[in-house]
Formats: sequence, C-alpha cells, structure tokens
Amino acid sequence: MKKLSIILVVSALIAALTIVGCTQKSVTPTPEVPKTLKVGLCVPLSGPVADWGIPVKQGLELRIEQINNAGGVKIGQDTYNIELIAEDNLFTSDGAKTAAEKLIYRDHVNVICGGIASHDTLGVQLVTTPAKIINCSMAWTSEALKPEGQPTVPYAFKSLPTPHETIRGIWGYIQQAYPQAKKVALLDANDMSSRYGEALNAKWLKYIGLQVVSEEYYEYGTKDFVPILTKVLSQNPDVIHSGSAGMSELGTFIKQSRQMGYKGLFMQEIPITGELLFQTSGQEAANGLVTYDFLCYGPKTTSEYQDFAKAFKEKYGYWISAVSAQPAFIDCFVQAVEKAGGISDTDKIVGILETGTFKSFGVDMRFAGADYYGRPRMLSQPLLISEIKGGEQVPVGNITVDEQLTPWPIE
Amino acid sequence: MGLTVASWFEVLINGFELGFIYALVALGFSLIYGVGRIIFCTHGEIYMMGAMFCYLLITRLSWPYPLALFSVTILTGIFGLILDRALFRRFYGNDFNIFIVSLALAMIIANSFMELFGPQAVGITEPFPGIVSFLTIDLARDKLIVAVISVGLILALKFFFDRAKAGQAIRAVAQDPEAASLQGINKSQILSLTFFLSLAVAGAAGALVAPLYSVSTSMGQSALLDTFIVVILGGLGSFPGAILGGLLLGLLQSIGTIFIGHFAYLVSFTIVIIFLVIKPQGFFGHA
Repeated sequence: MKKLSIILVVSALIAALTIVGCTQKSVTPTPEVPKTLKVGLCVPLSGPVADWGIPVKQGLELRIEQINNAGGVKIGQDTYNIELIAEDNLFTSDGAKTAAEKLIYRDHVNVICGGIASHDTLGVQLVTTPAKIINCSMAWTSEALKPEGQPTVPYAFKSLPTPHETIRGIWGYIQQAYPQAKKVALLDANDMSSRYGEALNAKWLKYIGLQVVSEEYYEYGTKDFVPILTKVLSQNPDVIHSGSAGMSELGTFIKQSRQMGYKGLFMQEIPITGELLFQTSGQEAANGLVTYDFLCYGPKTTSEYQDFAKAFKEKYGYWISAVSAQPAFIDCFVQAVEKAGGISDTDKIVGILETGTFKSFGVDMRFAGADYYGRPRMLSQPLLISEIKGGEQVPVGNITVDEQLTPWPIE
Repeated sequence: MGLTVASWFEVLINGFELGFIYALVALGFSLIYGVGRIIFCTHGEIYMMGAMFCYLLITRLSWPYPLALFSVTILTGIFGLILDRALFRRFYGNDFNIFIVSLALAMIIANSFMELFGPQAVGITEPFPGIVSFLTIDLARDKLIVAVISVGLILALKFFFDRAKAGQAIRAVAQDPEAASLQGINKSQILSLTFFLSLAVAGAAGALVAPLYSVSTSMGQSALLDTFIVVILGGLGSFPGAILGGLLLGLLQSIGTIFIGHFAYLVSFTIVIIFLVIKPQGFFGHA
C-alpha cells in the first residue's frame, strides 16, 4: 500500500511537471502589450550594493507616483497609469539576465531601467535586445552602449554620465583651483566599471600633465582601508581619485585617510549628497572632496529639481541626487511614448528618443553622444561641479552639455 | 614597496586590531557550536544589530558611547535568550533544521532592518577622535581603544570559562554533554546561558566597530563570511582557535593588502580551501 502511494505521488509529480513544461513551451516569448505602462527595474536590492539599488528604486517609485497623481500618461486617446515592477538582479550578470527575463516574459514590462554597473547591464541587454525592449542603465562604461565583440544594443540608453563626459570638467577645475596638486592616486572598487573609469582617468591625467603615483582596487564591502591607504599614502599623493566608490566606502576611506594624516584632495564622479557622506566620513574630514552633481542645488538649479529632492527626503528621510537620473529618463521616455502615440512600436520610440528634446526637472535634456557611443544614447543635461568646503557642499563650476560631448583630443 | 619602518609597524598593529575584532565575533559563533553543535548563521546579523542599535542609541537618544556599548551587549544577549527559549530549543538535536532556521532568521533580520532603517550606510561621530603617536608610529585613537576593549572582553570571557562555575559548566557540556548531565549540570540552562553570552559578544563586536567604520544593514553577511574563515582556520568550537584564526585573518588582510592589494581577500579563501583539504579541523579543532 505504501509502495503504491509512493508510485502514485511520483507519477502525479511527473505528470504535473510535464504539464507545466508543456504549458511553458506553449507560451510564446513575445512581450504582450499591457493596459498599464509597465516600467521594470532591474537593480541590486540585496547584498552589499543594495545601498545603490534601493535608492534608485525609491527615486523611480516617487517619480511614478508623481506622474500618476498628475493624471498619468496620455497616449493617443487613452490615459495610462505607470506601474513599477522591481526585480533584484543580485549585482551579477546572470542574476540581471534572469531578472530581465522575469520582467519581460512574466510581467510584460514596456521598458527596463537597470542595471547600475556594466556587468549587470550587459546581463539585462542579453534579454532586452532580442525582445526589442528599451533599456536604460546607469552603467559607467561605454560597453553599456557599444559592447566590444558583441552584437549591437539598439535599444540601450544611459541616464548617468560616464567619466568620459565628466572628468575633463572636474580635473579642469582642480588644476585651476589647486595648481600645486600634481600627484594623483587612483583608488577604486574592483569591478569592470571602476577599472574602465580609472583607465580613462589615467589617460586624461597623463594628457593634462598630472602624474598617477598609485593605482589600487578594493573589494566591495571593504571596511578597513588602513592597509591599502598605507600603501597609497606612501606615494604622497595630492589627490586621491575614486570614481565610483559607494557612499559608505567613500566615507570610510575619507575618514581613515584623514586619521592617517592625509591632507590632500579627493575626487570622485558619482552625484552624492554631502549631508549623507558626512554621516560616515565626518564633516571636517570630507573637506576637499570634488565631484559633479545634477542641478538640484546651486545658482542654476530649478524649482522642479528642488521639489523632487524635498519630496524624496520627506518620503525616505535622506537624499542623494543620483536618484534623479532614472526618473529623468522615465520623463523622457513618457514624452517619447506620448509623441509616438503608442507603446508597441519600440523602433519609433527609439527614433523619437534619439532625435527629440525633452523636459525633465525643468531642464532641457536630450540623448547625445553619437560621436563616442555610435548613436545618441546618453541622457545629457548640464552638470554642476561641487566641492566640500567648510563642511558644506559648495557649487564651484558647471559642465555644459557641449563641454561634456566635445570629442576627446586623445582618442 | 616604498613603506617606511613606521608604516610597516602601523600595518602590523592594524592587523592585530582587526584580528581581535574578528576573534570576538568568531568566539560567539564558536561558543554556540561548541555547546549546542549549532552552525548559527544568524550570527552576522546579530553583529549588524549590535552596530545598528549602537548607532540608534547614540544618534537618536544621545547616549554616550560607553553606555550604548554596554546596553547593546546586554540587549543582544537578552535577544539570544529569547531566541533560545522561543525558537531554537524546539529544534535541538536536529542539526539540519537548526541550520535552516538560523539561515532563515538571518534573512528575516537583514531584510527587516533594511526595510526599517533603509539601505544607506550611516556612521556615528568618533567617540575617541585623534591620533596616538608613539616614536614615529601614528595610530588612530578610536581603533586602538576598540582593540583594547576587544582584548578586555576576550580576557573576561577567558576568566569566566576558567574560574566561574557557570563557565566551567559550559566547558563541561561542550566537552561531553552526557557526562556533564551525570554531574548534575542542566544542559538546557547552559544552552540558554551560551546563547546569551554568544549573542552578547556578537552584539558587542558590532557596537565596537560602529565608530570605526560605517554602519549598514548589509554588514552582517560579510561578517558571517569572515567568521567562517576564522573558525575554519582556528578550529570550530575552540576558544584559542577563534583568537588565533581572528588574528591570522586580520594580519593576512592587513599585510596581504600591501603586497597584493585586493587579492589579499582571495588569498584568505584560498587558505581556507587549503586548510579544509589538509587540516579540516583547523589549528585547535577536534578531528
């Protein structure tokens, strides 16, 4: 009797699995056109870099809530509400690919925001390209828009500038404000994006006559920077550059390097918020950090940027300006879809995104960068250069869109 | 390499400072394993809770650091008692179920804290700012004080296990539960005490690192990974093993970084694999 029961259970299981398998086979992997405009988000929501992914999710949540509360999106004769569906990409290429598959074939999203670095973005694009789904990443390398040795990515866009657009302006400011700074140490996280950024910085620094005295990488989650800083500081740098350090790592090594007697500058290229950085670095230690930012403060800021920052802070209790990057893309995407008169013709929407001018946060934005990326896919907007002075994040310069896009003299 | 002799000393001392903190976390983990044969995967999250509670007490309630450290130690210890009484004792004797429960609990705690306090790293104002200079060696004062407190806690535990009746009873249960039971030792009470001590130590370690580094809700995972390395090197369930393993890992990371940069972390794992092959019981573990 017992044997019979086991056989029956096993048979039932096999039958169930077969049915599920057949059902899955019969599903055509073609994205359906949903009634709601669905935005997929594919970023790390757990693990040591969740503090990058979760703010991105919160930024999009807020923007989508604002768009829906303002009446939604008018496409043709219909009004659509936007729905955000988030998947954790585990900060791996494979995890990103799986997450993108779920978003496209299970949730039928119309667009995917993510990943946040190059390797997870490449994972997303493995799925979005054949599915003809527009993808906007925050990746840092040119690989996200023109992957080497791989098929082209005709539906890929980017919302966050890469070092290619930003470092000339920031180093220009440092050279002008601190002409005595000659030696630079590169200290960054050990991943594809950071190595790309540091290689680009090294190339530019050589061109402008600054000396790279050290190049070191650390693993994500590193808490104790004393050993690596001992090595770096033995070269007596005037500037420590860390392009893509997360807020906690940046804060920790700023604090520890000051404890070790370092008196020089720091430079990095992700929009941060001083107030948040100070929680780990301490206010005084962060003095001398030069970075770029969106126009969410400073003399050229807009009321829309300020309102968004205020609403974000009220809702989530903190503010990092980088969270406005993907909402800016969604604004542009929505405007492009409205112009296209529908959400099913991806190529038409891509064409509008490539050629149109859009308004987001009260700033004129457009997709540019055809000279460098092959097609105009980089969401470009005027940027701010800021420096922490006297414990405050002070605007010290601007980088116009034209300055960001001027071809490099050394490529 | 271009490092001065003073810099080398600083790196070495930093390795010891790091090592004592690793040792403290691993001691709690080893203790639970030694007495209850429990692979307590929640340990890293208790460390995170310690750091987070310390941050909250200091920033929200303006408590002085020493009081926050003491309170966190007691709080996490009491949490250990509750966990033992309400949850884990239902599974004693079933190692696999306990392992899964501790793993699930780790995820629940990590995600709940993430939801409650957000993903961003935070920090507390240094309670002991400044540098201590000795000859030409400069050391961060806060790190030095934290290392001294860590050593103090380790010595206090050692004293407790050697001299106190309850400590000796814990050792007896760890060595031979049946013989201990025949001697009239109540294993159930000893397990509760072990949970209290183990989680109190993990919480204290979290509170100790809070002023040194940033505090985030994701810090528990890497702490657990480091703990695994320490106990594999030193020997699971061994008091001196946890200390030796902790110091080895601290020195390896501190000195290794000078020579091979970020590869030092990979070397830690390589050594763990080598140990698992040639000396799976670690330096002080039982075969």
